[in-house]
Amino acid sequence: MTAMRPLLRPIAIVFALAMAACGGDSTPTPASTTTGPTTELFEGQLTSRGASQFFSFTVSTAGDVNLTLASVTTAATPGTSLNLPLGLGLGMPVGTDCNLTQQTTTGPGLVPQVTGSNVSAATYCVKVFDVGNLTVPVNFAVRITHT
Amino acid sequence: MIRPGFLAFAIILLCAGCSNDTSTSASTTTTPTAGPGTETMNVVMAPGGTAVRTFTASAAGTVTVTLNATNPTTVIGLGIGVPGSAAGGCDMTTTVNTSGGSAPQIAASVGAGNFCAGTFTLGAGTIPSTGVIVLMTVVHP
Repeated sequence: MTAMRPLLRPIAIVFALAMAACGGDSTPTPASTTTGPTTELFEGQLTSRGASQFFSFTVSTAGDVNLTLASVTTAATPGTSLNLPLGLGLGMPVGTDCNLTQQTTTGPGLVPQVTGSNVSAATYCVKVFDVGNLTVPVNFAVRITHT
Repeated sequence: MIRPGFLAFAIILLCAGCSNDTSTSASTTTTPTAGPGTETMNVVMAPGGTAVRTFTASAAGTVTVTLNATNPTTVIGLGIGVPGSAAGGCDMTTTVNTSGGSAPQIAASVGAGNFCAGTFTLGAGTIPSTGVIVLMTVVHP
């Protein structure tokens, strides 16, 4: 047994060195998370000529805001789309109204009709309003995507 | 007593198991995306009912919706829209009244995102009390 010790010592040293080299990078790598834009749906009804409704939402980081007037239907024929142009605008809430900074008149579609490019973090609003075409109450839906 | 040969073998095994797995050195979570695809819906739609299928467009492009057939043959509503609170859970953007056919009855430009397509009955007595079998196909980017 004593005769074995000279042989065991270098092996033990090699073992210790090998284990010391085995540690790898112990520094934790932070997980990165990619998040997409937030999507919200603003649904409402315009019941009379000149009527309007608005909805407020919060942009948390600077980025684009896209508004899509996606649906206009009537209560009389639920499910059936109505190609009725409505006013669609983007702005900022002021008191009990939405102060528009950009707007358009559009029928329903599935691509954004209003885009706010690289807007800063703040509270914004989307407004839907009759431009004089309304003869019957209509339901509408606006898809909002923002950062 | 431990034999030196055994110790050397143990060291080799230990070191072989020490290599870093670089494939797990970073963790990235991305929003799942759905690629281009074809969705089909084959259901029985009850009188006064709706039948809706949702899908995800991975990029802007054109979506086509085809009411392939109904059994019995009849005219029903066919539409495309966005998921919402309307009947059937789909706020319709474009609708047509149609019977089955091989050519798409609806073609719509879309941005990337979630959408829905579906069918609905056109009023009382327009389809049998037992319902109607609906076969619909959606092709999307």
